Amino acid sequence: MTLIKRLTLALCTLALLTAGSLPVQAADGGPTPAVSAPATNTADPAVAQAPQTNEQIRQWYNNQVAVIPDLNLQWQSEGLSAEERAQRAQDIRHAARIKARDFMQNQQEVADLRARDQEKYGNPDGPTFDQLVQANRAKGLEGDAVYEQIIKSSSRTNKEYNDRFGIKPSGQAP
Amino acid sequence: MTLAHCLSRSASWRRTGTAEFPYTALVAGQTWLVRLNDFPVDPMYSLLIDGREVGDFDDWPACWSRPN
Repeated sequence: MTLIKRLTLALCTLALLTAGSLPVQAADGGPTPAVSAPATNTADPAVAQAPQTNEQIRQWYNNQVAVIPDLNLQWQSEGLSAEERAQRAQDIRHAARIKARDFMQNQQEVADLRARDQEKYGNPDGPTFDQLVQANRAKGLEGDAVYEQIIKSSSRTNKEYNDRFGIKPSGQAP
Repeated sequence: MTLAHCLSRSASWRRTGTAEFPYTALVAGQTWLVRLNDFPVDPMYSLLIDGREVGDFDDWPACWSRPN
């Protein structure tokens, strides 16, 4: 695949995620079912796939960020810098975070989360890329290590909790 | 007291006025506190009783009344 095709694929991935339907690519290269965006028409079969509970939304989020390590390998093979890869990984994670809140049915809970993020990061939608860079530098990281840490943390999920409740990244049996 | 027991017990919550620990309740003489986590990376909530962390959960129990 040419560099242009790969870049186009990455941009499409971001666009689909932002639109609420990210076709997750399995480790073997084959596609897995897309995740539907929230909607109000319950007659639409796609709506039945939309996560309803917060636990289901966390599962959906895990599936979205699970593709980042594979995408990072792809980006590395294309010669992208650590900073560019970190920015792309953060874009995917941030879009998934925002979309997860779109799925949430209790608007008070959404407001509570936005208030928390505002208090913690000064931004109701969570940390910005620049804040993550500064936070990693404050931890003593330098050079590309700052960006590699952002990439690594972009696919972080709460393993202990996921194990306890059987929440698995995409492609794993429950 | 296990998390499952707490989640199935009725409780009347009030706001604390802080974003990270938004709700508190007095249950059987103990102070229950709910922490809001980095959802969806982390579980939505953690329950603390008298300062001790009992466990994490995602969905607010139906038997817990939350202030408007």
